[in-house]
Amino acid sequence: MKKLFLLLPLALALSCVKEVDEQAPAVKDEGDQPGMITSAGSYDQTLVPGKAKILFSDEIVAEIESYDGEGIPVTKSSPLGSVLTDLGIVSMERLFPYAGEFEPRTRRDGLHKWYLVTFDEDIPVTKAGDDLSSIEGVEVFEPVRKIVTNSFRPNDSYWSYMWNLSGITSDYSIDVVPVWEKYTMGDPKVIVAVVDGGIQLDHPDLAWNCLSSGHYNYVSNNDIIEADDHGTHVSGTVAAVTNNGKGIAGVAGGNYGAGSRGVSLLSLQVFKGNSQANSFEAAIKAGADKGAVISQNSWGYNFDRNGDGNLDASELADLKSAHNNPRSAFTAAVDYFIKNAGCDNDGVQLPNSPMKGGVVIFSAGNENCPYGPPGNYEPCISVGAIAKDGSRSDFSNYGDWVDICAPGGDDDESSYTNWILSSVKGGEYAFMSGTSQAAPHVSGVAALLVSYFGGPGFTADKLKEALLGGARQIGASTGAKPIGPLVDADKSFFYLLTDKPDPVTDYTVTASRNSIILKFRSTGAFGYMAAASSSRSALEQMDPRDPGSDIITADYEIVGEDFSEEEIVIPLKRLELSTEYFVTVYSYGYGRTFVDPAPIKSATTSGENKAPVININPEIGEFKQYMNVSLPMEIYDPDYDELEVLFTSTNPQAKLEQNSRGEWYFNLNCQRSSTGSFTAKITATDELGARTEKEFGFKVVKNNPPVLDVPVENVILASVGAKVSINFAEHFSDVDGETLSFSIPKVVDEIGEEVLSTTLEGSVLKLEAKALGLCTISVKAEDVMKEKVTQDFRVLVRAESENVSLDPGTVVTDHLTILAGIQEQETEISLVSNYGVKILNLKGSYSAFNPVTIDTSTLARGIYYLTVSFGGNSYKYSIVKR
Amino acid sequence: MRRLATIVFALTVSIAAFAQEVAPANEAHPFLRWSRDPALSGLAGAGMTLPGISPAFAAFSNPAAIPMMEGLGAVKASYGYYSPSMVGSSNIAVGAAFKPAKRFGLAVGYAHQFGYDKIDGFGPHDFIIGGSLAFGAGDHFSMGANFRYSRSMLMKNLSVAVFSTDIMAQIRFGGFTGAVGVRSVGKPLDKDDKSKIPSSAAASFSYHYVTGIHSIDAALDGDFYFTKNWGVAAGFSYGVKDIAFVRVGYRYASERAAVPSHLAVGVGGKYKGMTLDVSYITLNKIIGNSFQLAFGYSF
Repeated sequence: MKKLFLLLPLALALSCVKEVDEQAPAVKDEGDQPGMITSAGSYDQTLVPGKAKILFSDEIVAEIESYDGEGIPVTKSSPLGSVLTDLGIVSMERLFPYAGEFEPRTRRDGLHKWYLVTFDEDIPVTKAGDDLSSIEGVEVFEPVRKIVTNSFRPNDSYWSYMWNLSGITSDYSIDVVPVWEKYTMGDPKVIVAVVDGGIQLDHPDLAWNCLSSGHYNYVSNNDIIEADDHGTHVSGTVAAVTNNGKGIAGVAGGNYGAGSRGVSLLSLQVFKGNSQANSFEAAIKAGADKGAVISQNSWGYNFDRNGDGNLDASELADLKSAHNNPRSAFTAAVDYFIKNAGCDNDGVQLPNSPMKGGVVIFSAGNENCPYGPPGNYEPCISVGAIAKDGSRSDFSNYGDWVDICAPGGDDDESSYTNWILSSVKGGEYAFMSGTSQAAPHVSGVAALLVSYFGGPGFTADKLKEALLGGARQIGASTGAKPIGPLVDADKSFFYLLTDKPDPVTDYTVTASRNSIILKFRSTGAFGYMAAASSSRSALEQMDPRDPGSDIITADYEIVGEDFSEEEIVIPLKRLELSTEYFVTVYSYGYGRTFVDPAPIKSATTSGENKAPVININPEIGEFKQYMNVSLPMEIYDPDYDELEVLFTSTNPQAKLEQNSRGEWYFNLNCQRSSTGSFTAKITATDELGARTEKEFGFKVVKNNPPVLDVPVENVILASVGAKVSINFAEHFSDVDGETLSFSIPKVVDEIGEEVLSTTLEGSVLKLEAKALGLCTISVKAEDVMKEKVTQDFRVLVRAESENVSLDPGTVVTDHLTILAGIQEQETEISLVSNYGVKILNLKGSYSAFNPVTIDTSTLARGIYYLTVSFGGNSYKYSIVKR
Repeated sequence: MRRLATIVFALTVSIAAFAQEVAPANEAHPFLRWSRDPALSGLAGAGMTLPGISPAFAAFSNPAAIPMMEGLGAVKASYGYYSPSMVGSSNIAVGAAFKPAKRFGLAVGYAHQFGYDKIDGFGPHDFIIGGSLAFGAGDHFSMGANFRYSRSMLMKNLSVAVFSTDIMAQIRFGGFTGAVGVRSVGKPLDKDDKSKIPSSAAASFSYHYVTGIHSIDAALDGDFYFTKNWGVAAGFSYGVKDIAFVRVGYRYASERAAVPSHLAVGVGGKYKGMTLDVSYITLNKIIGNSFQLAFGYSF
C-alpha cells in the first residue's frame, strides 16, 4: 500500500527558505536553469533539487509507521522533528512501496526503511545532507542524481524540420514521440487505405511499409499505381519509415533501426494529374474489402467553376448545398466502410483483423469557409489544419462539424519550413500545406492506436472516442471559426489506458470436484479475471497485474458484440480436491486497467468425479433439404474437466463442432446431404475416463418446389401515374416453409414504350404507370434450393373512361391492336372503309388482356370505321391508315 | 372518388399471344366509281348508255355519251347523303357537258365528299375534279376520254392524290346502245403509295323502247376490276310522257368491290329541259338508306 505523508504547512516551508538564504547566500542567475548549489556555493546541475533518499533506523521507521493519519508523524520534540522543520520537508514516502505478498521479504531485506524525502528546492542538497546525516536514526543520506534520459530521437535526416511530430520548435506537435517511446511505432497488420493520388510504392522512405499487392488505380482501372506528389506526401506523414537514417519520419512508420515495420499503406488511386476516377466512392468501399480499417482521404469537391482560385457567391452557394446535402453514393460508401471494415459478410470481426469496423478520416477543405463537403458527413472524422503557432491555418475550413485539427502549415510561402515536410514522387521530399496535410496526422495516430490496442473486440467507435477524447483544446479549437481540438497521440493512448469499467459487485460461486465456477452479469468491461486462492489474505493482497504463483486465475475477454446483458461464466479449473478456496473477480478495461475486485467469497471443491453430460437438442428430428442446421448441444463436464468428444454419423454432412466460446453445435448442411434417415452418436470422456454416450436419429426430407397458390391477377391501371403494389407472398408459397426469393426476369412492353416502372422490394412489387400500354410481367419465385415457379401476368394502362384501347391509336400503319373490355367475352369487330367497303368482320372471345391484332399493312391509305361490339354495347372509332 | 387502379380477376393465368388477323388488300379511292347522278344510282349504277339520261356528269361516267346527247349541252347538280348508319358523309357534285360541234363534246365535273367523323379535330374530305373529251364518227359511233384528279384529305398533314382516266367507245343502233372501255385507270401520285385504285374493264348495254306515252328502259352494266373484284348492275326505268319516271336497279358485286351489292330505286321528272331525280339505296347494311337528289337542265 502506498502512503504519502504530508508534513509542514507551506507557510512554514517558506519561512525556512528565507532562513537558508540568510545563512548561505547563493548566486542564482534567474536566467539559468534551476540546479543545486554545491558546497562550494554553486548549483550542482547533476542533482535533483529538493529530493533525497534516506535510510532510517528501525526506531524512526517504527515511529513513522505508527502514525495512522495525515500531517506530521514526528514532533519538534523528536530527534528528527526539528531538522525536518528546518528543512521545510514537504512530503516523505517509502522509496520501495508496499509490496503485497512480497512485503515480508521486502522488510526482511530492510528496503522498507528507505524513504524519498521532498524538501524546499531552495535548500542546497548538501546542506540538507549535512543536517540530516547528523541526526540519530538517519543512517544514510543520498541525493537524487539526475538521470540522463534516453528520449527517442529518430535518426531520419530531416527530423529537425518535423515540428509537427517532434515538437522541437513548436508547442503544437501531435505529441507522438512519447507513444513511440512507451507503446508502439506501428504494426503492419493495420492497413491504412490512402484514397488519393497514387503512392510512389518504391519511394525509399515508403517502400518498406507499402503492401506488396492489393493497390488499385481507379483512374485507369487497373492495378498499376502511378506515383503522385499529393498521394505520396500524405502517405509519408502516415507511415514514412522512421529511424532509417534518411528523409522523414512517419507517424506510424515503424522503427527501421529495431527491425519493426510500421502500419501498411494501401494505395487506392483516385486521381492522376488532372484526371480523376469516375467513382471515388468505389475506392472508399474497396478499402474495407481489401482489409483496411482506416480510410485516409485528403480531397474534396471542386466548386471553383471559373478556376480563379476564389469562390464567388454562386460557387459558395453550390458548396453550401453540397455541404447540407451529402450525396447518397458517397454516404453509402462511407457507411459501408465504417460498418464492414475488418469484418466478414455477417458483420463479425475477422480473426486477424485488428478492429471491428473502420474510421473514415477526411480533410476539412481549404476554402476558409464554414462548409466542407464531402468530409463534413457526420460519420467521417473531419480534420482542420493549424499553423506552426497553433492558430487556425488561414485556409482551413471551419465549423462545429470539424471534429479535430492537426498540423497543416500556413499559406506563407516565404517561410515554407513552417509547412509539413513529407515524401513526394521521385524519391524526393517537399514541404506542403493544407488540410490535406493535416488529415494524415490523424490517420497516423489512429493507426498507432489500433496497432497497440487492436485485436478482438476493439471497435472503430472506441478508436474514434480515443482520438477525439484524447485531443487537447487549443485556441483554434473554439471561437468564431472552430476547428476542434488538436490530435494528441500520447493523450489518446492515455485515454484508453485509463479506461476503467464498472466493477463486478455480485456473483455466484459453485464448486465441483476440482473446479469453481463464477457466474455474474456483465458490467460492460473489456474483460474479466476470476481469481482463487486457498489463502484469503493472499487473495486480498494480490496485484491483478501480477497475481503471483499462489493465485489461480482465469480470464474472460468480451469478443465482438455488446455483451452488456450477458451472463458471464468463468470456471477456475484444476483446483485441489476437497479444499476451501477464496475467490473474487476483477473487471478491466482496454490495456488491462483493473478496478476494485468483487467481494471475496469461498467455496469448497469436492472429491467426487461426475460423468460428462450430453443433452441432445430436442429440435433434432426431421429437417428439410433446404436447411442449414446448427443446433446447440449441451455437452459439458460437471467437474469442468477437459472433455474428449467423439462424433460419428451415417450422414457425412453431419458434424459436431465447437465454437470459440466452447459451445457445441450439431451442424448439418442439408443442401449437400442426400435425403433419408440417419443416425449419429456422441461420446464424451472426461480426464478421469468417465464416459457418456448418446445416440440419436434424424431425417432429411426431399425439397418441394414453390407453388403458385393464387394466380397473380392481371391489372388495369386507370391512368398514367397510377400505382399499385402486389405482394407475391400472397400468391406463392413453399410447403417446406422456405423463404422464397422473388425476381422479375422480364418486363415486356407489348403495347407502348416504357409503360411501367417496377420496383421489387422483397416480395412486394411496386408498379407505377408511366405511359399508356400493355405490359407482360414475368415473376419468378425461387426457394433456397433454387427450385422455382414462374407466372406471367399483364398490366394494362389506359384512361379510366376507356372500355376499348387501341394500339397504336386511331392512326395506324402496319397493325391495329384492339383491347376490348376487361373480361374475355364474345366480341364482334367490324372494319369498313369510309366508302362503305367491308374490310373485315371478326367474332371471337377477346379482352383487354387477350387482345386481337389486325395486320393493316396491305390496307389502302384512307379512312376506316372500326366498330367493336361486346356486352350489348358498340364502340365506334374512325381509323386513319397512313 | 377517383379510382386509380383496378385489380382484374383473370380467368386464366396463362398469357396467350395476341390473336392475329390480316386485313385484306382493298382499293383506294372507291368513290371514283360512285354515281353522282341519281338518275343512274336509281338504277344501281346501270344505264350510263341510256339516251334519256343527260351526260352532264359524263366526267364521272361515260364520256362517249356526250356526242350522242340531244341538244347542245346539259348541266346538273346533285346532293347525296351516304351511308347514314355507318359512314354518314355528304357529297355534292356539279357537272356540265357541252357539244360545241356535232361530233365533238366536252364535259367538266367536280365532286366533294365531306362530313366524316373528325379525327384529331380535322374533318377528312375528298374531292374529284375532272374533264372529258369526246368525238363522234357518224350517227352510230362515238368515243371519249375522262381525265380526273382526285384527292383524299385524311388528316391535317396526310392526303392521298390519284390521277385516273376513263376511255369509252359507244355504238347506238335504234333503241340499242352499247359501250365498252376502261374506267378509272391510274394510280396514286405518291410513289410510296402502292395502293391500287378501282380500275376496271367496263361494258354497258341498254335498250330504250317507247310506245305511246309510255317508255321503258332496260340497262345492264358490268365492271371487271383489275383487282379481281367485279360488279354487275341491272336497271329498269318506266316513263310516262317523258315527264315522270320510276326506276329500280340491283347491283350484285364481289365482297370488296368499289360499289357493293345493293338495291336501288328512284324517281325522276323532266319538264322543258329541267330535270329532278331522286334515288334511294337499300338492302345493304353499310350503304343502306343512302339517297341522292339532283337538278339538271338540258339545252
